Amino acid sequence: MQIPYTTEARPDTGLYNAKLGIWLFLASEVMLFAGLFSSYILLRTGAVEWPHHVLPVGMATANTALLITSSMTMVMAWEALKTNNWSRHRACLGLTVALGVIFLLIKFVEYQEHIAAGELPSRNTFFALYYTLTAVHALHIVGGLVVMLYLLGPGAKLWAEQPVQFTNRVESTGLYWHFVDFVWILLFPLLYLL
Amino acid sequence: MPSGRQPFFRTYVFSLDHKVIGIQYAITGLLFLLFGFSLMMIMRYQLAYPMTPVPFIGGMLSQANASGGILLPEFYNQLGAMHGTVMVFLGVVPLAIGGFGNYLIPLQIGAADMAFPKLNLMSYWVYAVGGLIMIATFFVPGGAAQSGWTSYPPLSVIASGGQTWWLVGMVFLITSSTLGSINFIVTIVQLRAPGLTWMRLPFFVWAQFAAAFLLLLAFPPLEAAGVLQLMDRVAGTSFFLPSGLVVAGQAVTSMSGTAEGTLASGGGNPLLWQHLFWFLAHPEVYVLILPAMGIVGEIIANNTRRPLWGYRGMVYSVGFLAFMSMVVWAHHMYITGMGTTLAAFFQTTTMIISVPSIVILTSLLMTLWGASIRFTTPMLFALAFLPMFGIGGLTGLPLGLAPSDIHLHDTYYVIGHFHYVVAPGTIFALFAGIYYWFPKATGRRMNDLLGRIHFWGSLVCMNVIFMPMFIQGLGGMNRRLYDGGMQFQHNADLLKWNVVIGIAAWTMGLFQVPFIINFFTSIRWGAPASANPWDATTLEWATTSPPPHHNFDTPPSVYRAAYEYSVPGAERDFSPQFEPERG
Amino acid sequence: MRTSADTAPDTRRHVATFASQLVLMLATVGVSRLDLGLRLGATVVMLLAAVNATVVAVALMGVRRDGPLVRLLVVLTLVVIIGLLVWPAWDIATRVRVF
Repeated sequence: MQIPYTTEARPDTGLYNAKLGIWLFLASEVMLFAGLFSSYILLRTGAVEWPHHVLPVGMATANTALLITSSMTMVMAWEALKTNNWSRHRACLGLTVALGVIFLLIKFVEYQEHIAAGELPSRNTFFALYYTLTAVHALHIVGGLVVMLYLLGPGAKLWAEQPVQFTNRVESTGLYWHFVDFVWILLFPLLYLL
Repeated sequence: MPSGRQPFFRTYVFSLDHKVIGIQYAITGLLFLLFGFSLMMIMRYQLAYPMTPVPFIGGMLSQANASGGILLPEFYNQLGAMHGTVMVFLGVVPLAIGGFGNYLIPLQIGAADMAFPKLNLMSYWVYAVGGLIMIATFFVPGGAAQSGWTSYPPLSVIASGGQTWWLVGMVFLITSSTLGSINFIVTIVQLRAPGLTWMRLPFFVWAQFAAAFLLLLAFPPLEAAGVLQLMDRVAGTSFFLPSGLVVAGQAVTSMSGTAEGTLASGGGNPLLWQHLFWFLAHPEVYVLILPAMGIVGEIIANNTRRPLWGYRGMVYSVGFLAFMSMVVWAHHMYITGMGTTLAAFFQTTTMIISVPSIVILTSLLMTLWGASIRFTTPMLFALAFLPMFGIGGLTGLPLGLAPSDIHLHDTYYVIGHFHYVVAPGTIFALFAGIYYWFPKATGRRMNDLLGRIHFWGSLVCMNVIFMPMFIQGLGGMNRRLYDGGMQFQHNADLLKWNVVIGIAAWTMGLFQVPFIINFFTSIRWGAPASANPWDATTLEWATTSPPPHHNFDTPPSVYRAAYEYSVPGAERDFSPQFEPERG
Repeated sequence: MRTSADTAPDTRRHVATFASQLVLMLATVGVSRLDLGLRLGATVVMLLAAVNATVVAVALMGVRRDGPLVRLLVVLTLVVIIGLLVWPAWDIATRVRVF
């Protein structure tokens, strides 16, 4: 007896196993960020004063644009597989990774600037939240990049042997990546604009 | 039996087979339960005979923990915090969910394994590592976590080193739990055998399904909170440290190594931790009870030879219970100075949540009404669960209402309440499950006489331990007091109960010995069991005892509901789900 | 299964999604620059961000496409999150201020 529905969808649910699995994982991840967002709201509600305009909006806006673009390239990477366009898939996935790396580099520069100015997490709750929220998000970016590098590297062999399963893996990774974009789109205004 | 010639480690240690992983979870969970219970048996000596050396063990403890064999307050607090942590996170949940859930779900739905076997393997080992980290904290400088299993700041932030590792351990456990819950949900949704519609699912599977959802959605905010507390302890932040905090006459300095000497920034809020912690911890207690209800349901149907009364109502109740459990958490926070509107909201939801529990309990009782009951050992434990859970549930009501909770919060009444639900409640159900499914897992039956000794001894002792706690709590005796409440005048008449409780606790420890002996000797020398020794109806009994590696030689189909016992006109008093219509 | 004949419309859809996201992002930044006061300003800014996030969920993640089970999961999670976001903050907001 094999485990069914690993690549083909179960008729009554319309899903293959990993697709449901990744959605459930995203539900739990969204709860993780909700916990952090809830902390932000609670601490800010109770705060007597709150810093304004101390974070670099320009850098963060550029980062937002980068992530939005990378979501588009990620979708294209998946759709290229569905139309059997291997080279296009590789290009789009590679581009997604590149955009993610640039995001992290800009974040690194941003952190450097604050640390140089003595603005550490221990400074006040605003900076504590800023570092923690963006760092947890950045860790999720790193996780996504690791998976994508695997799909570009050793994992790419699966395309030749089991194209449907490989396509599904790319789709699942895409779902995760869009979620990371989703969180940033909400995080960016909360920390940088309000 | 291993299929093919796989090396020992692949077969028994790093197996992908859900049955092996389930047994690993179960045995690890049972060991942790024993360990957590032992911590309490030590504490009970201090409570019964304060400031006297603990026999045997006192001599083995280091001077940092027990001066001359007498427990020091800091060590008492470590034992207390770790007792709670170990029992809940390392004992009951891994056994109830990781053990029973993993072993039985694929079998009961007719699947070859879980949806993601590799993820299953990872879940177990991440749990095992997390558990070891937790236990190892007893040996770090400053000792284990000692701020309660609830780890309330500011105390937990300024407490000694073990707390940091407690938080790290929690991250491991939460990761394990999340991976496991994804696996359970996908398995139940996607891998049901042909003919196994939702309303034909065994109640046990429904209960595990709901519990998995709770774990999936409720744990992450605690992970977030854990990260924040780690930051407070290690990076010098003040998520939970309020402004102007002074401890022992000194303003609190930043906990970060780099900013030593500088004052903590403040601006944090201890209530933030409480909200995030209880957001998990309340659904967590429903995670503790749901598998137990599932197990009891299976055993009661089987031993009354009747369908579960009101199965549909029970299923809806499980779903409603799970949902409601996510909106009651602040009833743990009534005395923190909450506004009256919010308190009213949480009191309302807390009262409402008692309804589905009552529906489930009543349905189980109605199943018994007029039945010819088989008093097998599992059935004894399952029957005892009902009144014990009833007492636990009813004593929760005064705690759920703020006016009475103001008097009872943080007293022994609370300890009595939740232990009734978890100890003679959930743990009895887990024992019932072990006696019931042991034949399936091992192909042998456990000894009945030892089982009955285990049952009666445990039942009496449980009640002698926890009933007096209601008296103590109503009398105003606070919990987590190192000296057992001696220092307060109003506790004077209540102290004698500590002796009674202590003796009952150690006696209960003795009554677990027949169980331990029974468990291990029956694996080798128990009476052989057939595929379906209990004449049960669910799918796990369709295959051999123990099942082969891939569970079913031919993929099963399901032809009827889960509890078709005593169907009028049928040949036998049970019609299994997996047998087609005869004739 | 889509064929290569469908790629052209898809690229248009992607560009449209991408463009709308950029516009929403710029609008969010723009509104934050206006002096609307904290309450109104925060509400509008986060609303725009929420719309942007919804575009991600619907157009990119395919919440609607992946079936009723996924939709149910999303709705359930959202309901739970609202509780987590609202009640703790409400608790703090409705307490008597000691300092």
